[in-house]
Amino acid sequence: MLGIVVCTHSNFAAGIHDALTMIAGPQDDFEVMGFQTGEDMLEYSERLKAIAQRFEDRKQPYVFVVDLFGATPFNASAAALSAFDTTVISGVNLPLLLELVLQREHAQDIPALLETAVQSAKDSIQLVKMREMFNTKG
Amino acid sequence: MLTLARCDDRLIHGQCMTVIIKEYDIQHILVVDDFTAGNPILKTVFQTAVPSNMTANVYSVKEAIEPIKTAMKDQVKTLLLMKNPIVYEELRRHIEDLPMELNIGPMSNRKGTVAATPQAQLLPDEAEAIKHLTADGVRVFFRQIPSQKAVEWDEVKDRF
Repeated sequence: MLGIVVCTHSNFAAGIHDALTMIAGPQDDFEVMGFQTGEDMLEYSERLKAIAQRFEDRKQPYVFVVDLFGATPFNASAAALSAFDTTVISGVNLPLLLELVLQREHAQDIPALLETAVQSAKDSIQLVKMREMFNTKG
Repeated sequence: MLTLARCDDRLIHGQCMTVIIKEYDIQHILVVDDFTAGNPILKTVFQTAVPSNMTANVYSVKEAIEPIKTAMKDQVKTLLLMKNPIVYEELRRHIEDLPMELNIGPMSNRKGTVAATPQAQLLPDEAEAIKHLTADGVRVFFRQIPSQKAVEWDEVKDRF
């Protein structure tokens, strides 16, 4: 089963994990790593690498999911994973994680799962105009 | 052109990417850091992890001199980014007409640092470098993001 490691600024990772389990139940092979104020990027990156190494040792597929491209959780993940054949998804949101955890148990084709999950996460961001929602006829 | 010279000990990160780049309309980031320039993995990360409409290059102090001179002559809005003011003092020895303003952004709490502002903590040799820069007439000011009020070196220098 696909391992998932969520890396964000501050406690966003822990918070989105709480929200996820509220909807989809407790998750195995799911790690959260919040980068905290004052923390050293390279030490943080080393901790991420240790998590990735555990998946590598088990020959288990895994994906890192970060909050913001080019920001420290992304940069530290990229530095940690430079030697591994894996993937980082940037722009974490709840629909993305839901799609990943709900599909990962039966998914055979991991790259296809990641593509589908990213597309559905993009599609999940919508403008819902209240006037249109409640006033369609007038 | 050098739009902004800034110290930030995390170099390129979220605040830089989301706030600084937009506020100053930056098109190119020129990072000067010997450690990052000497680490192929980190160098690749910083040079690659930027939006597709902009570019970033990482140089050691020695390598940076010519690219900085070029950047000062062209029309590309460039952010000059260093981990600390010691690097700026060193660059000034090689490039006479560097901007006379240095912005100090986030500098983390490390062993032996003293707070200039809550977000900018300085080691003694970093404070020394600021003293030299200001003695030469460079304005050194502390500010994380442009919407905050700038704190001038004069307001905090008595702590060092």
